Amino acid sequence: MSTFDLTQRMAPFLDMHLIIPLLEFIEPRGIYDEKSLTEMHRQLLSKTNMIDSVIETYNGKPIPEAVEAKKKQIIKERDELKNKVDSVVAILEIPEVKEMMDNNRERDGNVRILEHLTQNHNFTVDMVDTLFKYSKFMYECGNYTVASVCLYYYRNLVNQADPNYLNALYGKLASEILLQEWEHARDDLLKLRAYIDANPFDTEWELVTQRAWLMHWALFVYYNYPKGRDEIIEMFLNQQPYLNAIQVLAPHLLRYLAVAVVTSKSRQKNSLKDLVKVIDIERHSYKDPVTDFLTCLYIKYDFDEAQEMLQKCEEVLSNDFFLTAVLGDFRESARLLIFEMFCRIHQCITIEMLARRLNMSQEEAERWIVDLIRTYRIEGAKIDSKLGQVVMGVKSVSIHEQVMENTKRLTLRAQQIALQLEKGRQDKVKAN
Amino acid sequence: MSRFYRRGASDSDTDSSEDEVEELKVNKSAKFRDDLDFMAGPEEDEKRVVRAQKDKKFDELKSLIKQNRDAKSNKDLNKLLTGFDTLAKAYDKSKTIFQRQNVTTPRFYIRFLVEIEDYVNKLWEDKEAKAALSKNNTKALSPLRQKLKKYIKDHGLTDLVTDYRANPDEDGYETPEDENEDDDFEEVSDAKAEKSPGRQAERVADSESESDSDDDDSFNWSSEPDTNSSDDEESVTKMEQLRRYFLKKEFREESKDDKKDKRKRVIKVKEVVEEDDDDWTPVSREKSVVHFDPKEEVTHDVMIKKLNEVMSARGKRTTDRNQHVANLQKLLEVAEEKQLGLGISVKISFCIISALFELNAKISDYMEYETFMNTLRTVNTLLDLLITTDRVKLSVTYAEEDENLKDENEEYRIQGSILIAVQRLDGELAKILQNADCHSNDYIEKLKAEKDMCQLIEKAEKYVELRNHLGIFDKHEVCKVYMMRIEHTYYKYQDQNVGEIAKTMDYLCNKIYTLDDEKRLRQRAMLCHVYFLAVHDKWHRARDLLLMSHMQAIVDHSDVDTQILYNRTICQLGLCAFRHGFIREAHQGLSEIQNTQRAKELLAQAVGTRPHEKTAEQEKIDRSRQVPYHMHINVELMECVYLICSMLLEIPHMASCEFEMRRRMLSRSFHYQLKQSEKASLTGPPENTREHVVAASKAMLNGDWKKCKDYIVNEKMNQKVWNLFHNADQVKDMVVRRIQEESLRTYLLTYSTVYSTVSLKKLASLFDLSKKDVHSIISKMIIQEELSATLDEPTDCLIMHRVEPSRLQMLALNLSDKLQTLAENNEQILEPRTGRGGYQGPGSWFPGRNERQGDKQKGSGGFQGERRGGPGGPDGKRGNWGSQGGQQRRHPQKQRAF
Repeated sequence: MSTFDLTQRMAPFLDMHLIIPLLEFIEPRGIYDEKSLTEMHRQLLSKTNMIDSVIETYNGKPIPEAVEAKKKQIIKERDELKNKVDSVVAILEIPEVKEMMDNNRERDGNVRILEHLTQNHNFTVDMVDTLFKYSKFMYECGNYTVASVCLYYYRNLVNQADPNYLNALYGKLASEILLQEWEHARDDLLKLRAYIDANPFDTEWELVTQRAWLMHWALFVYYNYPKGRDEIIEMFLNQQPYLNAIQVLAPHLLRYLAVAVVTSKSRQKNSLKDLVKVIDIERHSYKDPVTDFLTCLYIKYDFDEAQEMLQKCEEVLSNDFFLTAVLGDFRESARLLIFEMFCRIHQCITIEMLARRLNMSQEEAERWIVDLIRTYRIEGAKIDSKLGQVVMGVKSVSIHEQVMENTKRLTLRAQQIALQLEKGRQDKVKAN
Repeated sequence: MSRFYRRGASDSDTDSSEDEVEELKVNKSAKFRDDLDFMAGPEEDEKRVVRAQKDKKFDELKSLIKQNRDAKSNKDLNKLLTGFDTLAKAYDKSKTIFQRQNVTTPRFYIRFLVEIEDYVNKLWEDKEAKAALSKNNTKALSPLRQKLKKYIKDHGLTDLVTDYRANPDEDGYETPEDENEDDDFEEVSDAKAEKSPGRQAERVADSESESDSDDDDSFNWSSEPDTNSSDDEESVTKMEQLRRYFLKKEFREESKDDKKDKRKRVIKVKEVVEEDDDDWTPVSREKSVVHFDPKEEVTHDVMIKKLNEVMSARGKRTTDRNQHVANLQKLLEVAEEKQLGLGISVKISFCIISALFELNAKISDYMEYETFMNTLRTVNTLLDLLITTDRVKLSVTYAEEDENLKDENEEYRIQGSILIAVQRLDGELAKILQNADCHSNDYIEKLKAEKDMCQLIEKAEKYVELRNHLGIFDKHEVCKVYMMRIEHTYYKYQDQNVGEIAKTMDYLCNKIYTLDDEKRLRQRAMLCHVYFLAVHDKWHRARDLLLMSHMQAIVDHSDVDTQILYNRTICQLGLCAFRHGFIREAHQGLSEIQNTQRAKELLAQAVGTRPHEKTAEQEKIDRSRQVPYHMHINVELMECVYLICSMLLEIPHMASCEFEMRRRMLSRSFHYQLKQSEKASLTGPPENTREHVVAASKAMLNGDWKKCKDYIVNEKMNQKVWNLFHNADQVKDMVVRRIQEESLRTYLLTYSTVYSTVSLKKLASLFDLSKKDVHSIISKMIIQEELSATLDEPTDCLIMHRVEPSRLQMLALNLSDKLQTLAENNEQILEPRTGRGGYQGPGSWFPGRNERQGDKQKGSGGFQGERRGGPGGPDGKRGNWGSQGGQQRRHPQKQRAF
């Protein structure tokens, strides 16, 4: 049961606050031992400042003193920071400044605003640091709204070369994710990606690691965003550097990529080809029912096993934080893929066999096929209801047609060449 | 040019040039003697001049004779023939002088003639020896024999020869004439004086095989511009003659003395190792150097002074190298006896090691095995000493002035590097193994030293790790030590303890990846790593590492040694892929080497078979690059594997494009083999592995998988191929399975036009496969549009749609094909496409390997289109992380925390 759970493999790439929802998701599923999971959860929380949540996990049991002490200390610290930061926020919330920030463009750099503030509003550079510390603190406390606002200010004040700039970007993204503000999160994600792609890092290795992190965080956004799945394909599969990062560091992301490709409505064909290639290459280092399903279907051509895998996939998907939502979609698309494959290979299939393969009753299958043929206009497929068969129209290409096909464009090409030659000749004449 | 090459199939060019040089020398000395005559002046009496003239002729003849003897002992008949001609001519010229002075034919001349005649006759009769001669030499033999006969007859020397035969001089007898002559003439002849150094050299050679190098030099010097020995010798003799000229009377004694002296030294050299120094008195100059004044107390300063004195003789032409070593050893003894402290001992030991290395005059010569073991022991002792004490710091960074050899209160600082000594020793071992006959027991004996060497290297590594914090090592040195250990490990297959060795290997390679800032060692380490993984069946890791290293792209620009290592690695990787059943990859890997017909050469397992293409210099370099025998990759096995892979890929391919005019060949050499066997008018049962595979291929082409299997897997092949794999049964099963599958594919492709339906059951039973497998194979073929057919599920039949095209249709198809090519070509001419940019799909992430530079042939695109590693793109740094990827991948990354 736990073999296909990815929480443990994903954790190293995520922020602690991002892991919490994952843990909360798997807790009721009984995949792991409950006790150790609660303990884990508590440990994780105690590393943050969300002391109230820690207290909650004790569930009425006596609370250790250390926790109480920590709570007091945190509250004290918060007050101190708050006092300091209030003045800063006051300056930043002046409408004129706010407007400036909203109209700010990345490319101008943030120097202008900072200059303006120091000249007109008594702003000091120390204040920027205070702002960052405060937002970090608030984030740790679980007050993501404040953190996100503060980081928004911070990001507009600080130069890109600042060591904390990247952290601020990550922090902002995390806050938005945890606030479930997907639109904003998406913008932040794009910003972060642009920053990483500009490669401000010292080593290639770090760049790859950053990309791996980014992709993990992106899962939150893209699986909750209407067109997110297409964007996953675009980013994970079609961007070579990101695909490399997956292969080197995080092959388990192939599952999410695979689901995205299978359920994607547009551009499925090419991406499927590429994906299968990658899955095949990485088969030795990562496989799960989702990737195995594609392997069986497109590499081994073993439909029985594909069927088995499809069943396992349901289980895996329903236990995956990101993928539960797309389970139905995935099932539909996977069936369609199987059927398509059948149509290409077979001339005649019994509906009974199909129903078995697709995990449906015979009648259901027949209806489903009818729908399929109607919606996707599968060429030449007809149902012979008397024999209970689906018959494909044979479409073999005769040699006659082949020759036609081959020679079709020749005339045009020849004409083009002739035109070009003519043009070249005239140019020469003119030049002389 | 060393003696070794001269003896081998030598070029006549270089030989003749050498002759010229030597003749030149003769002329020169002759001319000099003219000068001398001139100096003698007219006031000297007539007799002297005449005598000098006669002696001069004698000298000339003798030196020619010596040359001929050399040629004889080298078994170079060609040279002997020409040499004999010159000699005969020279003799004819001098004859008049002899006649004028009533001198009979000199006895040494007769002796020489008899010698040569005997030699030639012996060769002529001894069939075996004759057969062993090179082509050039055989050609020269019969004219030489005839000439000799004719010469003796024509010049009326027959009587003299028979006289001599009746009363021959004893064997090895050199110049009795001289002695006789000396008795005849009251004064010492120049000739004798001239002769003595040469004779000396020969005696040395006789009595002492170790000082071979001296002898070597004495006839090599003429072709060696860098040793100024020729000038030296010339001037020495010149001076000597002048001196003798003025000191006629004393000269004789002195020369004798001199001779005695020298002879004594030779004997000493021989015995010096065992001899106690009490037994002999310091006669020679060198010895006296070591001798301490008994009254004087031996202190540090005295010792250092002595050491410097001894060391000053180092590298001089006159210094006997063996003697040099012995002196140093004596010094060490004294130093330890007097307890002068570690500093001095280490310093002297270090000097001994360098001296031992210098026993060989030339770098290309290999060390004597005994000397090697001796050196190894010395280095080992020194290393032990260095490991046990941390008071001695040995480093290349110290200048000579900074050395501290005597002050006990401080730590000793000495210039030098034990690591470099170890490294050099390693090089010597490689040379010894290269030059040993790899099929003899001797080789095995010598190979035992490899184990000692490994231990020594491990010790050196330990030493490095113990002392690295002191900062006494150069980074490069340290890398080299790790590299040496890698190079002694990577090619050995370990059955047990693989995990441990693999860990060591990972550790060593990672060390180099992090330490080395030059690219070269890192590349080499990476290749060794890949090789190691491949040998131990870690196919995926090996492949990933190789691809991440981007070696395919850079190997063309690296040095030849690295290219050789790359070739070896690729081959080993190919074999590994084959064991894992990755036929296509195996084929790709091996074809790069196998398609060239020069597999052995590219792997540095044999020197090229076409010597005329290379200069002697190049050949020598090539030889020095040869991989020692125990590291060889079995080329026959490789070829067989390659052919099997080709068969599995090519036969279905051939069947599928039966009707196409332009067939694309996957493997040229496989097609060549097939064609060869087709040409044969009568094909017998297959004998060697190659024929087996060809026969199997033919069976497969007919769809007969059982026959095909029998050809591939049988007793003979077991012995030659399959048993050489450590997991033989697994590999055999894999191959049989692949044969079944590919036979099925071939069958379907070949007979698709004949059938309209085939039952899957029938196919399954025909090819002994399960129905499921048949189904999946067929499905794959349909999807990939290899086979135009569809399955009929209710009846479990395959329905073929393919119709054989009529002749007209086929021609039309071909025509349209050709028209298309024509159009393409025209477009190409009009607008030559520059490079191929744009999206190439995730498949082809690698630029194919370019044509190899120099003698390497063009290779196919490596493991092209496999995975990972960005396009060469704007940031060429990718190789960087690639190397680290392997190492860091194992550790989970630190958490991304905000």
